[in-house]
Amino acid sequence: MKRRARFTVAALAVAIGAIAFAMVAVAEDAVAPAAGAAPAPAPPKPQSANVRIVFTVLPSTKKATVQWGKKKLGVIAPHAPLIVQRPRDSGPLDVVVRAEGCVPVQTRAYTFEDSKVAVKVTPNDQKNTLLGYREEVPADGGAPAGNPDGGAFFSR
Amino acid sequence: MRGKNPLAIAVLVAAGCGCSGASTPGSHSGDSRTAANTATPTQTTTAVPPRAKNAPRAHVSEEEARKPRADLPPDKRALLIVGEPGHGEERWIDADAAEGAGYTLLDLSDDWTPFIFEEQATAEGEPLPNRYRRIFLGLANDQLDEDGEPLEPGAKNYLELYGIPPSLSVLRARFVQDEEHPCHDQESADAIDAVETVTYVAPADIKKDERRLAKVRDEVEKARKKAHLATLDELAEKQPAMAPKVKMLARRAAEKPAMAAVERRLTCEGLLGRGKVKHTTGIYDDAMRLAVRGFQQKHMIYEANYLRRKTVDALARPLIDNDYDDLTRAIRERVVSAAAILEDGSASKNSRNLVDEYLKTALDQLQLTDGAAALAFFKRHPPTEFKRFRAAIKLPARPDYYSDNMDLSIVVDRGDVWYDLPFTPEGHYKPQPRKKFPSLTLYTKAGGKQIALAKWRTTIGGWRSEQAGNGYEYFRYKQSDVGPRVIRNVVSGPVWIAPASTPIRSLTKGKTVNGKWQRVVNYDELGPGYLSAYGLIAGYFVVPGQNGRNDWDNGVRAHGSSDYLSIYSANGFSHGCHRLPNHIAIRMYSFILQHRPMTIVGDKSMNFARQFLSKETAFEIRLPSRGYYYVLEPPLPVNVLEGEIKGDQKKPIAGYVPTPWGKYPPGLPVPPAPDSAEAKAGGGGGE
Repeated sequence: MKRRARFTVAALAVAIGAIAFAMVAVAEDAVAPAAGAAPAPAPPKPQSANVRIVFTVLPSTKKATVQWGKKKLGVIAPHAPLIVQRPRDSGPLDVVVRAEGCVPVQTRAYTFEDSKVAVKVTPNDQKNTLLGYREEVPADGGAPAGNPDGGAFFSR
Repeated sequence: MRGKNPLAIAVLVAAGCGCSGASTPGSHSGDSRTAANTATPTQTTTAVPPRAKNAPRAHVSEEEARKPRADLPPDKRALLIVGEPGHGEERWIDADAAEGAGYTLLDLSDDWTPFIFEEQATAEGEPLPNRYRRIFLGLANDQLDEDGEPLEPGAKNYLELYGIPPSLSVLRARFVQDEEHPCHDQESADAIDAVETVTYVAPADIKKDERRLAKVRDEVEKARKKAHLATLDELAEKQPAMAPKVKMLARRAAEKPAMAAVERRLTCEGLLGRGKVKHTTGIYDDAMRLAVRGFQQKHMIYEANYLRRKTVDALARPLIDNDYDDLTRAIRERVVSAAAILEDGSASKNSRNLVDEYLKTALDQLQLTDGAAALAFFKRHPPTEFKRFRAAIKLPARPDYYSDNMDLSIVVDRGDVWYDLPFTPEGHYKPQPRKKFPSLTLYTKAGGKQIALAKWRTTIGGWRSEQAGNGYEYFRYKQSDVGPRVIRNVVSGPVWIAPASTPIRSLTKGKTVNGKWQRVVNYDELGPGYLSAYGLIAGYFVVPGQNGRNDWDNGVRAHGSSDYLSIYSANGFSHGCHRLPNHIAIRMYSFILQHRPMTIVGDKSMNFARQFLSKETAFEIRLPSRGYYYVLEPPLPVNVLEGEIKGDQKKPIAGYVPTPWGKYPPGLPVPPAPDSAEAKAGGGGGE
């Protein structure tokens, strides 16, 4: 019974698809230029006034807040992105994404077109994996290291 | 996606009619841009709209073209000035008819950009938007900041030094405002005229400097009394050994009233005393330095931010004279663009300066011969008219070697080159004098001869700081490659993908974000933008791939740069790239793109993201685009000459070298330097 129902639905879908395809084909035929005639350039599609920015975090199980200067834009919940609408081409959004127990991330979203901003967050105890992390110089200030030319320039 | 210009066929027909010889005046406007696309094999049967931009015009008689047409809307008309200077009559005429009669349309509209930021579209009419166009226009019109965010009310950009000339509306406001507040009096002008420069004394050294001057003053005064002379001038004459000291005291005395006059002038111009940084009268402090920098930027003065000769000269002039110079420079870029010319007299002592010739012709025909005439012009035309404002001018014919497909090439001469370390084993700076500086020359080949069109100072690589993988900074020699190359890609609004070796300290900056001061990624340097490492436009040097292989890109580009002092300084070096001032790079690449076959690819999207750690915050560089791509087909030949190697070191030192002043943990080994293309030279942003 279930199998038959499934088949019926599938057949219906195929039929609807075929009709839709035929309609599209008819529609396309209706506007197709005569052989040899130059196609009329289609007018450019008007762009929407706003763009949609989708903020997510990686890993997606984390909850995070998104702050734009003084304003809190919203919260990225586990597996649920934060979607923000902004006027198209109104300049970038410099935001800070904060997830508990992680290094805060300053990033940027653009308003030139719709975009997705997937921000990787790094746990505080793994910040040494980030570029720019460096071992601290000991309190005595350190000393010049050796150089690739055998110390010819800086030997004392 | 390929840019298929709808005018391709029309231009092909025109080219077939022998249009590749000497240019007629009316063919200036963007002629070669259309030719460029004829090389694209995929372009065949695109419909040509009846009156598309830059289409060849039907011939129109002079009489017909000059008929007044005040009834036409702004986008159909052009201003023609008839009659003798001083008695000229302004007349709106039909812009199309003007072009048909051989006039060139000079675009004075507020939405003018150089060719590289012009709106482009596919053959199907789909726009190929350039992300940076809106920002360029916003900056030129004092409406947006470098990020494309609204400028604070009343704030000014002053970005001509960085390749973005002010719009005519901005200049109009400057003229009108300066008439109301001239900021110029004879006493101040005389005080400034009395000095060539004003000695810079750092605020921390003022007392020390005063003690030194008092000592010299005592010394010469004692000498005068001892010699029984009435004045110090007499002392200088009788005792030549004392002359330099007397002269120095007189100069320093004259500098005080000059400095006071400069303060008055900069305050009146709104450059001093308005910011958050406080100024102490008579002292060349940070507030003063910023004000002088603003003044230099406003008037395109290439000088360090001190009161040096060019700056002092400009400060002594009436505002209207400086405003007039600003206007002529803004019009110059528009004339260069409208006429698609490049020769600026820089190629040699005897080379022709088409840029100045054409500018003078344009100014004469517009009767903008001095500041008063320009002010009167702006008073006749309200700001709203500059939304769409074109003028019809007749320019001389361009040289015979001009065509839609010029045989162009670039030669970079590295000049005098030093590979030695720039410091001694003790860590002292070691001078590396150069007599011959690097240059970039653009040639065209015509009649079997190479003709230099323009030659400019540029940069080559040198010793630079780099951040190694261990987080510490080292020195590394950044080589400018030698030998034949090509430029295939020209990118407007290019993005520089900072190599991982870029010092972290340069990758963040402070910024007010939505009312809160915070640290953010420093996109100024990454771009797109006038401050970007690649400036407003870049051509990528590559070795062409053979037998189906990809081009070899070693990270070297010839690009615009906001760091103009590095280009003109005796000690200025790049990371391997060849820098040009932004406005020169814009001119050069606009010219190349307008006179060579090319394809407009448009915005090249990417989804680049990289994080780095700085002070307990991860900063994420996020770059959605590489920039706006034009592809030269065939690519432009480039040859980089080795130059003369100076010093003991005859080959570049490879790898990292610890800096003498760097502090490193004991025993920390010097890491190997990365060998990728992006790490070697300018790097980043390539294919």
